[in-house]
Amino acid sequence: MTPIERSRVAKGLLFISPWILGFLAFALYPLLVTAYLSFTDYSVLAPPVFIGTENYRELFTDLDFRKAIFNTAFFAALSVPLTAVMACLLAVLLNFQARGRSFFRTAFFLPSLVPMVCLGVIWRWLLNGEVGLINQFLLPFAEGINLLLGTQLDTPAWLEDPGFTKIGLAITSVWGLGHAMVIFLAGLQEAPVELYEAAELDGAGFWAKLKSVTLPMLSPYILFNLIMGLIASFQVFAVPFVMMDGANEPPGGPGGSMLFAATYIYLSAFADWKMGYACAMALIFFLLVVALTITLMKLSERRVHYAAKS
Amino acid sequence: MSLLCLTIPLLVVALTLFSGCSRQTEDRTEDGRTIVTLWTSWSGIERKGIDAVIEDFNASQDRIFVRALNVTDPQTKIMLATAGGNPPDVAIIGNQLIAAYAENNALIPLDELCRQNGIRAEQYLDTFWDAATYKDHIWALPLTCSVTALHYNKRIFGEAGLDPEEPPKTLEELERINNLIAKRRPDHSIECIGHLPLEPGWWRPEWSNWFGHGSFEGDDKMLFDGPAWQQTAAWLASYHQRFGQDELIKLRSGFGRFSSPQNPFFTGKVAMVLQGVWMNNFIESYADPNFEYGVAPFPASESANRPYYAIADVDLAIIPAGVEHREEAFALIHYLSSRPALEKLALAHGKMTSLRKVSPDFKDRHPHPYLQTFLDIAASGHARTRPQLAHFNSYLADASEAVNSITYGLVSPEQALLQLQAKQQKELDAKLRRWRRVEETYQELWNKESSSSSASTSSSASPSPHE
Repeated sequence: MTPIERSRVAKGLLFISPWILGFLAFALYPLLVTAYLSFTDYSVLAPPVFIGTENYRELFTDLDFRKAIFNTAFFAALSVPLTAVMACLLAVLLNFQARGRSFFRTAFFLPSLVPMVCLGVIWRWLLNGEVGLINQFLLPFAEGINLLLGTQLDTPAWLEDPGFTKIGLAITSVWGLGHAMVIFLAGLQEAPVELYEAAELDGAGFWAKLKSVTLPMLSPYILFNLIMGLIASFQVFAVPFVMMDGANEPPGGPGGSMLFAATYIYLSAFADWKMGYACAMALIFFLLVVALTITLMKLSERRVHYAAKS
Repeated sequence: MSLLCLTIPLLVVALTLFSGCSRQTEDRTEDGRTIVTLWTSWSGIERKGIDAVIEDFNASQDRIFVRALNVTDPQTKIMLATAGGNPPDVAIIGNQLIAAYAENNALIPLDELCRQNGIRAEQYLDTFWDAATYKDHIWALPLTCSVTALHYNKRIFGEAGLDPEEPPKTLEELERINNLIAKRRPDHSIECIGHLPLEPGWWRPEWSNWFGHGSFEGDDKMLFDGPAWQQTAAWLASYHQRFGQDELIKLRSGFGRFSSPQNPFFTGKVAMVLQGVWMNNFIESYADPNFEYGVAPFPASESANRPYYAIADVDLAIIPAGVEHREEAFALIHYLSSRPALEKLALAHGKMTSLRKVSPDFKDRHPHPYLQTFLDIAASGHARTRPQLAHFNSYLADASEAVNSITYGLVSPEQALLQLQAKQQKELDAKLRRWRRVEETYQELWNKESSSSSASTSSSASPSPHE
């Protein structure tokens, strides 16, 4: 390396040093400490005691841990596709040259700026089984169906019935689709007009253009949003935690149906003071998310079309 | 030059960030008094009560100045602050977590300080003093306290053709009244119910006591698979059998928050609830002015070996490990636990005092119309505190969840109890293993701490006697 190059590298490193420092202090160091603590009995108040793989062995027989994995996966399977499809559809609609387009774009983006805790409180009331607006809206439909078919349909108790809690939460998560929508919009505007013109010349209608032009051009954005959505849904914590707080339920919700990975990690660490156990769980979930992300990338390699590559 | 331009701002930012981690240095007032910080979770009316007592203390002092802070979730915050080496000098907590704090060496043992200041077990009601001791050490001074009782809606009793002055004498009778009171709407949903074990649901793990036995025995055995819990589970399961799963879920989803006029007891959705002595304060604040209620001991099952049972809770003043002003902190809690201060606090909070003797006019000044009932329950021997478990939080969460699921009929009682017992026994065993590892070190440390605090003289707060 010549002296000039060396000086350039040094300057470059200096410029990114705040980031490097931040990464070392706030990402790498905690990760390493988490890995170490997962092999200890650590109550935070007293110094950690090394106990080997006891935490991991216990995790494999812990029914609540299994429940937390199931709940998290179930919620991800519900909310990730729901949010992605809704965001994509909204982006397509908002991409039309219509009047008041900027107003609608802002309006649909705004809810994703609402802080998590406010979101939890707002939806706790919207989903209230007796006076909630969602049920007020559903009630006439249920009554109509009952009248027509003679059934006994009733509006669900979203926050108390274990069969509905996660569906309620998935509905809530749609509120946060603003960011995904903006990314899809950017993707739509990237799509070259020539392709649409060519498709139109070939006689393609709205749906054919959507299927053969828009979706392939959007595929990298879909992949990105899926991965980000997956990671976000594996971290779901604040909204269900706040929702259950008002329902006078154990923090895991009715029947443990709202016990998510992050909830269980938090409860183990800060309510039960089992930081070592919580670290072991956090590490397993971290590896799970990494594995899922890699799988998703591999699976999608052939289906994702990068404009720059072609 | 360019390097300096970058480095200096970076250093400034880093120093500003890290300065947040440093210990607070301001520990004296302008007139040289030592500042003692006090953490409580009390807010609203209850905050005013403690503030008035603290004001008296500050006025009586030329050496100490107390700064009271209201913190939400004090248990977690005290844990983190103590671990971070910057705890409050004094904190007031519920009695349930004494075991967890003590086993983690997070508190200062008060044995020697109590001895020096003439504080003795005999001055307190046994139940409340026992709640402040664990593993043969004193960890806190008991302050205000409460016991639970049956609160029932007299109007609903009258409407159902029952004598409003005749509350049930057994749990079985309570259930007969429950069936009588429960009303359904034309669509079969429940309009009101006599009793629901999930309302308010704060003591769900304790229901087996009404069938003769608690959930914990000796030092090392959880009893969720014992006969008392089997009877409890059958009683809980009878709710979904009688009222229907969907109907119960729907009913409960319409319950308003506890401290609001929508509290289901105030709106008449539930006619009988298990509540503590503080309930009168909330009834006066939130219920209809014409709301009429009665209080009686919450009756036990005919099969139990006791006529009734009550849960005793007590507010404990603790000194976290690692505080700088230990002597001043003790002076404060000594003052708080003295009779005049404690009675002032109890009157403001609508609670009782944990001291054996009360001033002659305490009952007259107390706002609660049924105070005598609570005092009788507290002295009866049927009021007990919740078990001292180092894993109390997981005990509370797991057992509450099981009680919910059994009541709604989401699981079979047998399966729920089996799982609960296995999980809770495992938690207890883990804590016992941990304790055995650290016991010797900690006991030695605590004995040393006790003797080192004997160097400090008795507190200068000169509080009134406890007796």
